[in-house]
Amino acid sequence: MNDIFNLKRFISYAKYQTLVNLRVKMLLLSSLIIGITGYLFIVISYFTNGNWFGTHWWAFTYLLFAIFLIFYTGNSFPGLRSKEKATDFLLIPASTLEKYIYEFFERVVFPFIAIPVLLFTICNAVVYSLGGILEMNHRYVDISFFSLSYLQDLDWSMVAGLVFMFLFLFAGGTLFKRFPAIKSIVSMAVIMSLVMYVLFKVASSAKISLGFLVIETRVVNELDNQVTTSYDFSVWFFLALVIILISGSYMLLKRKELK
Amino acid sequence: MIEISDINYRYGRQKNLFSNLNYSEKAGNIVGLLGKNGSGKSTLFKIISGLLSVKSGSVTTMGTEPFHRKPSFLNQLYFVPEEYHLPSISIKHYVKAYSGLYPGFDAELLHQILADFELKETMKLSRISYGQKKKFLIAFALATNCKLLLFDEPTNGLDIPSKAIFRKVVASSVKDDQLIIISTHQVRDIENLIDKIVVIDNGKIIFNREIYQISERYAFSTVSSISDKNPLYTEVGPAGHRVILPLNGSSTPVDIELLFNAIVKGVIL
Repeated sequence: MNDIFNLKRFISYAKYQTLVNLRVKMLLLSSLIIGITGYLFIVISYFTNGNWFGTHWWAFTYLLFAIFLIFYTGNSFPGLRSKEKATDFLLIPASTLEKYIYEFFERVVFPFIAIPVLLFTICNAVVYSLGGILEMNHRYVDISFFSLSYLQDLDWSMVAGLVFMFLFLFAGGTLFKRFPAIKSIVSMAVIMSLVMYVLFKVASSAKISLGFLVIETRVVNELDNQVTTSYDFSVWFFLALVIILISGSYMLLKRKELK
Repeated sequence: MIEISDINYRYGRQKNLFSNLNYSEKAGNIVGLLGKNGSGKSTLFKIISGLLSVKSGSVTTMGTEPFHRKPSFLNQLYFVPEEYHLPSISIKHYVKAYSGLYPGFDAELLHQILADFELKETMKLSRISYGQKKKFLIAFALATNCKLLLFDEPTNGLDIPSKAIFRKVVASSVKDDQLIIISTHQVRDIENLIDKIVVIDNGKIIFNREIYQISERYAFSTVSSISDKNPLYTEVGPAGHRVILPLNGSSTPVDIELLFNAIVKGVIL
């Protein structure tokens, strides 16, 4: 049997993780559903006077991602938090890759699927219920936010930044034993500050614009070569950083010792 | 099954716990790994199971380097640590979730051992006592049919009847291709169970012999006076002098506690 990845073993491992943590996961999910529903009911019906637009949805979506990021993704690899749990986690008969992929799916991929689905379902239910309970004729709750046309308005640099933050906090789970989320955020702030400082230093000495951080591709193409170059550099730079993060955290997990 | 050559190990900047330690073990034995507190019994288990890597020397467990933690290695190894974590689910659900990862898992054997230990499958692991959790882990470990079973202080927290059951279930479950190593400082708990004694002290294996070899050479008894006995080792006990003598006549049961005390006090046996 393949010692790196085996689908049958991966399914057994996923089944084990699901069954063992089912209660905790159900508790988390129900808390989240109750929290979102309660928040929306209160805010839409009282604090915004029933007027809830696309901007509100964006802010709320980002808030939800932030909560997931800190409390869920930031606590990745819970099996490494204590010696007792780590003995169990490291000796479960599955490969490091299988354990890593499972955790990656659960802590990084899953939130990007679960949050929009949860929001879409709960928000529609809340808005529908509010319409039945309250006098809504002078109120306007725009749920067209969830239509595909909104994807055109997505700020992809924000999405990339969000993905990067998720990866950073996920990777922190393999490095820090205690308070991984907080330590990951502080490390991320320090590293990003250093990176931005170096970038600005390089950019100013080479006399190139750093507007690339917000300029979209079509605009960049109309500008001169220097700006285009700096844009490409930033993309490759962040891509390299993501690869280093992922491979680094994988190697940390592979070389993990129980001291 | 286990081949350890010239390993050195230390935690952080502390002095070496193991200095050029050598140890090898074959399948088909129940080994008692004895040593004083802090002698490195648990660390040796962690090295054998791949939870720690060594800086120098070589370790081979079941033909592979354990620190690679390959699944084909892990599904043949079960380690019952002294301190452990169990999820808050029922025994039944735990078995359902975990047994699929061990190809040789024997559900029938598990039912039998659970019954011996008076554990019910509906019991919740978070609501049972420390001793019951330990009994469950021992039962699960034996039911996996792994080739290598490591028990670190398995009798800690077990009541007196359970210790007897532990000896019974281990002795009746072990197979010829299996190796069971039991680390303990409660040596009386493993009397009549182990067929080999390994003593670790000051970073080295200082004693490694099968029980029959010991009983072929030494006699263990309690005497009122030692003046005419010329014992190899003696201790004063409530019933007289406990002594180790060169065998001269019929063999006696091995007094593991006395043997251990003699070994760690430097008596050459």
